[in-house]
Amino acid sequence: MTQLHYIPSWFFGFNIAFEMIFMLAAALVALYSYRIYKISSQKEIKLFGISFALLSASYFVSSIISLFFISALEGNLLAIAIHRILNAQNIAVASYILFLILGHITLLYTTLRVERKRIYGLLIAMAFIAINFSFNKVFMIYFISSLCLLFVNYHYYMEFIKRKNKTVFLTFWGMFFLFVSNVIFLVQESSATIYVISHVTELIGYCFIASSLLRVIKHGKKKK
Amino acid sequence: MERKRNKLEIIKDILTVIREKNGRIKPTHILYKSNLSHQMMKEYLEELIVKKFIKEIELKQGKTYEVTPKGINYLEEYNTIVNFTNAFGLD
Repeated sequence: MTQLHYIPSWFFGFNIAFEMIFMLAAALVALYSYRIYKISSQKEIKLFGISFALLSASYFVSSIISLFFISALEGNLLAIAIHRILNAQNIAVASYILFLILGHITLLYTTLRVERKRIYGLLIAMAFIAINFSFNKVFMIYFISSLCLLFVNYHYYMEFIKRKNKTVFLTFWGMFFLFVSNVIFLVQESSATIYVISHVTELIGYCFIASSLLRVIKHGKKKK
Repeated sequence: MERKRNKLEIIKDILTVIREKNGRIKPTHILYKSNLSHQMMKEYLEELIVKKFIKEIELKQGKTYEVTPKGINYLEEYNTIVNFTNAFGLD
């Protein structure tokens, strides 16, 4: 049985609260993107919104998994496992992986600005083939997510260099912390504290992204 | 040297030109005022029609264009769109 996450028992409950916050922050970005898309009809805005809607769905499923499918390991350690047999937990974990990977790939595809559906399809196919044939599926999931976010970070770094604008700066740091939290997840097997550090880092990331979005909303209201 | 306009700006310029002419304008005027090549203007007009920002009206004198309420909403919310696309690197 493969363990998806190792969670210190004292952190149980907090992790669900963290995931709910991530879900709300990502949903807020997705909803505002949808509003802007309805006005502008620009495809890249729609894709950006879809990527955050997928990430929001992944956090929702993750909190459901934490609520219902957690099992106790030895000592003060809880775990979420990937079973071989098909059951409700397996479906939930598979949905979490699907939403997480699709969310990151869609975000990457949006920032690559290639507008080729075949490239999008290829990225998705390669990611799921790599996960399926990997010996360490959990490592591969977070490796692919980190790789996507690395390229997303490059895009936002270049945007910041180009614009030298505070809002892009906030978005860049937000994406950077999301990248770092995924990288931290790569070594989660070494210690359960890693799970906590990763969640805190992700929270910082979403705080930056939410601040960036709030600045846009505030500026929009001022103009009216 | 002038900065190259992005897609959102070009759409705003075309819609502004059409709106300034009381909502109806011939393609030659759009071409002259929007500072685009004929091919580019044709592509943009087709896109704007598909996205329902403008509508094409066939008259005896030829085609004219009119801004739809969706197009007017685009112009009114233009700054919000630009702020959003700038903040999230989407333009």
